[in-house]
Amino acid sequence: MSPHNDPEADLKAMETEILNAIQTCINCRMCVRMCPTHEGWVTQSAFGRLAAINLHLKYGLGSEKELSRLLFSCANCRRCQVRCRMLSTNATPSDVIIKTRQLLARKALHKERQGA
Amino acid sequence: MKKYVKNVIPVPHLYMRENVLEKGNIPGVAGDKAEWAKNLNLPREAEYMFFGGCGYQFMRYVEGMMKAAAGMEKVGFGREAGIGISKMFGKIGIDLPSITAKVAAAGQEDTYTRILVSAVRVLRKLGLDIGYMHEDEPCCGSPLYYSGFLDDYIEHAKENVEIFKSYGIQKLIGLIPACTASLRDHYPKYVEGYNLEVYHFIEIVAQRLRKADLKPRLKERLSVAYHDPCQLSRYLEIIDAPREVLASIDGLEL
Repeated sequence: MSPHNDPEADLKAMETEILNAIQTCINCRMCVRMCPTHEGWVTQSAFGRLAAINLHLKYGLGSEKELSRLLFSCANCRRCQVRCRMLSTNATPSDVIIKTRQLLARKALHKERQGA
Repeated sequence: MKKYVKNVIPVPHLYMRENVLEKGNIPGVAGDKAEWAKNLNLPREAEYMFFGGCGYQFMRYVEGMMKAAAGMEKVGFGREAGIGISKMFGKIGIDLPSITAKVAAAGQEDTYTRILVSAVRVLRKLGLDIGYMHEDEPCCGSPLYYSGFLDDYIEHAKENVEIFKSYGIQKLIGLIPACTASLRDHYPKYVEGYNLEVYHFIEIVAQRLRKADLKPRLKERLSVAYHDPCQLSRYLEIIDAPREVLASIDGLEL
């Protein structure tokens, strides 16, 4: 995990891990209305955030800045994750959101190191 | 130079990172964190080590700062500008958060540190051997983890474990759920050979109350509602213990 010999391979591995974790979401949207940050938009819920991460990482949809705005609007209260467990899915949306924040930060730091 | 990071991490989180890494606490105050424990004579070596955490120890600084920031927002500055200005004052040697903090706060009078004092009293009453690291107590670093600075967090965790080892600590009692979750669940993932036993305050209290011959009592009847906190119930998964403790109090209706 720590000091990387090959940062790009590390980032790729992290990305794959996130994408695999998103696949466990069964898209039931039971987490949408119950999210404390939900005000009407689906991106204000775990399902929406996970979909945004998936679309961004897979197809490059939206900028990193926009994605980060969605990720940092999450309170990490894990209500969605408890709901997932109740529904017997293996999804861990809250952990995936934190992990994607870490991925974005790592990517940015890597870019900065390259630029410097 | 920081333009890529600023793009993906909100600016206040960046300030928080600097504070944790440089000053060892979230609000970035130079103040004394162990002030509340002055009159308690807590030893530096004991079976159970008490972990105060940033939240309660520094909340009195944060409150003042938030008020100042809210005031500035009214005048037209953003919240980010408020934190930035406090940072700027720090650079020229003025510790703005300490000035805005409630002056008479330390120890007994202020609401936040009083919780710590009470917690220690409860643990002592239950017959536990409690110690405290005083000014050497590190910040657990959980803000780094949640803001995305995983590498910083891992390094910080390793440093902390060295500090814990130098104190010879075996068992930790945390009061703040976020710190406790970080110490209990995240550290073992990133630090090799991590073998600290970490408990949350309420777990220990419930466990000891079952054994002890104590019957807590209230002077006046009181009926309360209990709300499960995010980190306590869903990160630490401590759900029954607080209810058990509340139910054991005579004169309290849940």
